[in-house]
Amino acid sequence: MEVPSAVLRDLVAEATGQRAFRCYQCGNCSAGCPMAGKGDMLPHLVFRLLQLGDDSPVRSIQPWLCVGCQTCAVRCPQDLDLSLVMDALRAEAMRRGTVPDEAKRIAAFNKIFLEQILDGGRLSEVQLGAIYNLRTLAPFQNLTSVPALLRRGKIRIGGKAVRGPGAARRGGGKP
Amino acid sequence: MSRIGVFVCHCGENIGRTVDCARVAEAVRSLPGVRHSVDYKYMCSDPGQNMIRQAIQEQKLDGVVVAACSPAMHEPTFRRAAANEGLNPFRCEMVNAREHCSWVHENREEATEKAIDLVRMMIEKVKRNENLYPIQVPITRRALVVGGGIAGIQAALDLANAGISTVLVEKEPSIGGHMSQLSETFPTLDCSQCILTPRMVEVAQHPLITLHTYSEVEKVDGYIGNFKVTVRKRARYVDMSKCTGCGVCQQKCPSKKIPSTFDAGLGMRPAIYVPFPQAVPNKPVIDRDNCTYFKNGKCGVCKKLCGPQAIDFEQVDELVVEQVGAVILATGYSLYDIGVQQESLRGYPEYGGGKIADVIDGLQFERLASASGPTGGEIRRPSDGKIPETVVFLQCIGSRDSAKGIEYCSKICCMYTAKHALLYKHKVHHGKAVVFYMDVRATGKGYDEFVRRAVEEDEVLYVRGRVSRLYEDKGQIVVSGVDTLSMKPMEIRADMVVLATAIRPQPGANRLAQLFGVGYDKHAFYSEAHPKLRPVESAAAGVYLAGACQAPKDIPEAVAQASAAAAKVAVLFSRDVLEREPIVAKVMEAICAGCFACKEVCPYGAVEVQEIRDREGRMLRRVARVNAGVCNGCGTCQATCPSKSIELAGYTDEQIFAQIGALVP
Amino acid sequence: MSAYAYFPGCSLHATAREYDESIRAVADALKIGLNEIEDWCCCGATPAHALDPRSAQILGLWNLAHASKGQAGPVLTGCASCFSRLRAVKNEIQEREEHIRGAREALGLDIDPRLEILHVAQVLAGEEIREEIKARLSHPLKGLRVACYYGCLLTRPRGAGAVDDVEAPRILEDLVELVGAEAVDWPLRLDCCGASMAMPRPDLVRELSGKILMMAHERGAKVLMVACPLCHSNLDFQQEAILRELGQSFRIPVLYLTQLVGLALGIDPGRLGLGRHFVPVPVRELVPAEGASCV
Repeated sequence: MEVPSAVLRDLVAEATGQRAFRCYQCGNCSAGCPMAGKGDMLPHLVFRLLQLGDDSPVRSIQPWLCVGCQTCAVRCPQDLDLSLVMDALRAEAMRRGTVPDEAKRIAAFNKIFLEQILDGGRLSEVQLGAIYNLRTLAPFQNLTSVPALLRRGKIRIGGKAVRGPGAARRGGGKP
Repeated sequence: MSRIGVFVCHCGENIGRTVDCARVAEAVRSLPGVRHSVDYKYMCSDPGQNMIRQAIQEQKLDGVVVAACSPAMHEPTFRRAAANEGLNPFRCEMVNAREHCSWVHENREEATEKAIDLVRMMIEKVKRNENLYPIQVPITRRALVVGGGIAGIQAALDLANAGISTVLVEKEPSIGGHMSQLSETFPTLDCSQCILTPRMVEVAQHPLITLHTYSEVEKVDGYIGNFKVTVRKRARYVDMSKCTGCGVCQQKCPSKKIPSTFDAGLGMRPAIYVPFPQAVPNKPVIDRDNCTYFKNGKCGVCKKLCGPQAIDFEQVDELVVEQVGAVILATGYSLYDIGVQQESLRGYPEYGGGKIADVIDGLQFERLASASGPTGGEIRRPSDGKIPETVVFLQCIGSRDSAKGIEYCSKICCMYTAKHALLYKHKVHHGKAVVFYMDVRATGKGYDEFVRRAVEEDEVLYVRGRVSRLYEDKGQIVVSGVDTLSMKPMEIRADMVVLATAIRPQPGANRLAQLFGVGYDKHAFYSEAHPKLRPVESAAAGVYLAGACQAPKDIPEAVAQASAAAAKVAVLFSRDVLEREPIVAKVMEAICAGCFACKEVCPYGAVEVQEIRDREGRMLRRVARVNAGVCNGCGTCQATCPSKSIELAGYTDEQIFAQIGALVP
Repeated sequence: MSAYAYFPGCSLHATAREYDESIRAVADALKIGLNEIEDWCCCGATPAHALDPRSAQILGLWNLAHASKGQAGPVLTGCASCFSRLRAVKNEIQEREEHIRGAREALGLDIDPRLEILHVAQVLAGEEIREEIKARLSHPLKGLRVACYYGCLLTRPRGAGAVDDVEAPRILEDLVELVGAEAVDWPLRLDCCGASMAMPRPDLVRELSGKILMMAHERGAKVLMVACPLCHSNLDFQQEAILRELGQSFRIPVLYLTQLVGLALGIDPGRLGLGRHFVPVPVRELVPAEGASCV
């Protein structure tokens, strides 16, 4: 279902406190972003599209490439934080089901990671890797590193489970 | 018994639609003291004014109340009408039945009641009005100009040519300001010094201009028409009356490696120096902090070699008191320094923080381009002297940046960047010039055409986008930018980068403003009295503004403003005495307790301490006294005085209480 | 003796085990007390704030609540991401209270809003600790050229709780100089390594981390010093693949700041976990022979 477009801009403003109209399209964010040119739109275009009431950012891969390095946020002359907007766009894309195909691996990785944390409270990187491989249908990816990691004592099996945060997130009340 | 005339204006529909003017006139007609009460469509018109004049004559009115628009609009009109009939104009007052009544209310009944109340109040006030006469303040017909850049020079010349004796104070050893550092000026590419130096010489030779260079204003006393300004003339250690400007001392001075401020740090000068060859006055100063003689008592070569014996190491600062009637502040601008953290400004480490030799600012580029500059007019890299093959220009460094810099636009950088790129291309034909910009602001006469010339004829590449950061790598500078028009990240390896840094007032501008009582904004730009209609006046009577000290501007605007300020001074001086409105405060010295609370709160510094002495000269007590020449009639003192011994003429407590009394049943 | 509520984070319990080991070893040598927070949970790293801000808030609040218990002292963490997330949640409580209220209510735990969140780099930069380090400096790393790599989350964003100036930080270089080594001047010390793209888009990590490795080497660094386990992983674990693809034969060891300090304090390399790295750390080449000032 397509939601009318000014809604996206307002939604983003509400969630992040970032007002799209402050952006005067200087491009500083795009000039410093390590992922500029690696996706389908330059970072500053996201703000422009929000200004125009265009919601193609939720269908773009660009928000998924954002690693939250904050380079944009510390250099923006208008004191905007585009990384927060990227966060909100990802959440919205998931909600609407508009995650583009090229971003599916990134989305999957993050999703599995988050599921693991909310389940056990602490991450098992090996478990993450295993499940990620399965879900992305690449079961043997990075497998060669497992023995190397094992030899260096970098794989932890077992370990404490902390379930309180997950419960709180699911709305189970006090842990 | 008073004889008040009331005139209620309909102001066409403006008042008449909401207020029942006839009823207002009717309601007050029979009040004690009212002799005449009428309403009319347009009181400010000729027939309307004649009505007032006729009534004054026939009814022998001793007070007039006109209920109409705002006094800011027509008070002078009605006062003039009254005066023409021989009635003291300050016995004529207006009630604002428009902005304060008909324009802000809708209910006709209520609005009319309110209008009646307002008129009734004013009648009670006017009954107690007294004859007041404009205050006359003597004027010293001399002017002071602070700042010897192009604006100050223009102002001084205009004043002097109008026959007004003028003192010009400049803190550098020479006048000329930043314009003397420029290579060429946009949009004509006139050689800057060629058009400036004739003016500088004119200033030096003008019989009516007294020039104090290497000097600063130290203290200011007095008020409009009667300023006493103390100027500190710093010791040059050179006797100006003996020095012939031959230049031998500068040639022979052994300390030659002092970074020259005039060359923006790119060139060197000796310890005894003249900032540039065309300096006015063309006589050197000794930089005490860097002079071997002053540091450890050795050397003294200049003194030994000076023919006319003009070197005087014993010289001290001189304080000169100038009596002037008006002041023009023309202290100009300085550039944002990207390395130095200044107050709330963060600097720009991402652009090198001032540490990369080949990343320079606009004034430094001007010195490179100048034929009399450190490289003889060749564009060369400060690091190794090589000619850069690719020069990148970054606009808006510090300007339009509310996060780390300054929110305003510095106005001149788009033009000078285009000029720099163009000059570079003219000197290095095969070179590449790239300008990273956000917008191009080229609004003056011939300005847009100039930028187009740079783009179309000189093939300067304009890239719309900012640069995130730059760094040194293998002798070049890697610039990480973006072109927002083609949506491409752009990384360029440059040989030199020129930053268009923000324009700011001179350091110490706020201190100078405080001395003169001139307001300034949070950036220390001086505040004009009204942004649209009074651009060269300040809030301080008799102090005017010209040039970039008020806001970033280019040379034609600075010159225009300077001439405007000079004209204002000429207007001020066109009479022998200054007439001011008599709505000023007066102290009843008999009951003044000498607490000086009024002096504390007076925003204009109009309250002085007055000593009361007996016949033997013994001091009895101190009381406040208001200088009628400075008082602006705000009434703050009256509201503050605990003993009710200070009152504003025309707004006495008696009058105000009478107004309140008229309102309350 | 100063004491801290120690927050290791998930990586330090597994793939960045040597970071945990070196932090503990250095803390021990400098008499810094570390009390591991009981029942700490993952900070949420990238995925929480990237997908579900609410869970990011809850995870952060949980950790702040558990750190507040028992007054163990300020929170100390080695991971830049954990540091960044905890700082972010703390700032949200102070600056956008209405926005995080729902999460606080859902969790229902008490939090001390004044709790200080510190990265181990800040703790090592403290006046007194610096004096301690100087006093115990048995092996000043003279002549060792170190490129300090800050990555993204140690110094960014600005604002409350920031470690140093975002554009011109000196905290790591000062530490390097304190232990007698030479901090290399190089321009990519604040550039991103590729972070969480390691699994889903390793090509991006190889490109970004590749640039960092090349530049550090070009500027003559013998060691790359990091303050974040993910940076370490991208630069150490991936180094072989990256540099082989680029056709480069050099390899540059990547050390955690605590490992570098530990070496200078004369701590046994085994205790610092230096054997766990993928790019070998030639300790004998990096640390000058004994005989330096001992206490």
